[in-house]
Amino acid sequence: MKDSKDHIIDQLKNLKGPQPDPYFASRVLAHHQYSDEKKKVFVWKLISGLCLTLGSFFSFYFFQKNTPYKFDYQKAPIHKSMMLVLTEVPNDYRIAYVSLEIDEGMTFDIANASLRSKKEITLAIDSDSLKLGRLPFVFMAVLAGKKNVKVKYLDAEFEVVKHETYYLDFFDLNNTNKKPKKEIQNEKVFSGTFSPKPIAS
Amino acid sequence: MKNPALHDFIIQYQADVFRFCFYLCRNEVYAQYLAQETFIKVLVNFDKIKDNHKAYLFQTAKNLFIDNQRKNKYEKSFLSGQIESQTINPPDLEIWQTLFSLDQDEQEILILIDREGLSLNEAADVLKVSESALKSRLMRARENFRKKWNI
Repeated sequence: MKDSKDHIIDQLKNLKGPQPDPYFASRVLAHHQYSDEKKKVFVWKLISGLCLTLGSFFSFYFFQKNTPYKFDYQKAPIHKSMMLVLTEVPNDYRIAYVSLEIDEGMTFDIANASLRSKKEITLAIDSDSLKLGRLPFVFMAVLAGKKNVKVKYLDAEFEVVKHETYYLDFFDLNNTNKKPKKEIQNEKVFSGTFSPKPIAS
Repeated sequence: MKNPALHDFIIQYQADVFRFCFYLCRNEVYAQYLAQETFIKVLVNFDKIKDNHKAYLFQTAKNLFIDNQRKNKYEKSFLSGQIESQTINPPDLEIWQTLFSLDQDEQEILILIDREGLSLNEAADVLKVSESALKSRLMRARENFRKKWNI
């Protein structure tokens, strides 16, 4: 009886199943190596992607910081007297002078003819005047186009404490053919003072 | 580039793993896939395996099979429960059929211990039961197998 019992279990011990194909080992090894390579490639792709993203982000950031966009140019008509309204009043006790530098095609609107022809004027200013939020300069554009107005805040030794650039886009009110509709609608907004947005400081 | 250690490892255990995978799914084609996936998974951590290679491979195969079933992929639809193989000899097929007529636990115990030659300790690890419990179950499984075989 015992022999017959063991015989049954022996049959189980010698039980044969389906055999793997002769290329099984090679295929598994190839797959394993391919997975390794794929992992390495993925890591490199990840690193490259991260670098590219960071690079793009910083390029865009610095580009945006230093370059005025189309919508950063404040529109204003020519031959109209303007004053700069400060969007941010500088709060620095060292500021003693303020200097305004204008581009070609713009003039200071001052009675004194010798000053009118200048492109940069520096005036003494106190902190109370600054708090009003307006700079004591009146200027106008004589030519249409994009112009920059540079404002420098100086200390008692004429060292620059802070500087800002305002980007202006002047248009000719009389030349309505070239003027887009949007600008005509906004005419009255720019007839007096305006508050352009500083791009860099 | 061929790694000789890995190649030898696969050659040494491929038949056992393949047979165990066939036992799990009863389908030759799927067993091929399961065995391949088992080796690929094990080879990733090949350096960390110290001993009990066979038990580790079986454990991995079983976990993979269960995972795949849980994911409810195509396995459930084509695993009919019937033996699907073109290469098993009729006498062996008869033994397989007798084996599959037992309870799931008994099948596993007989395959791991009597067919694959795992020790009680190794089989207990794969099945996640205590050795003493396994011992009594083994006796019962053998007895049931004999009964079914004689029928």
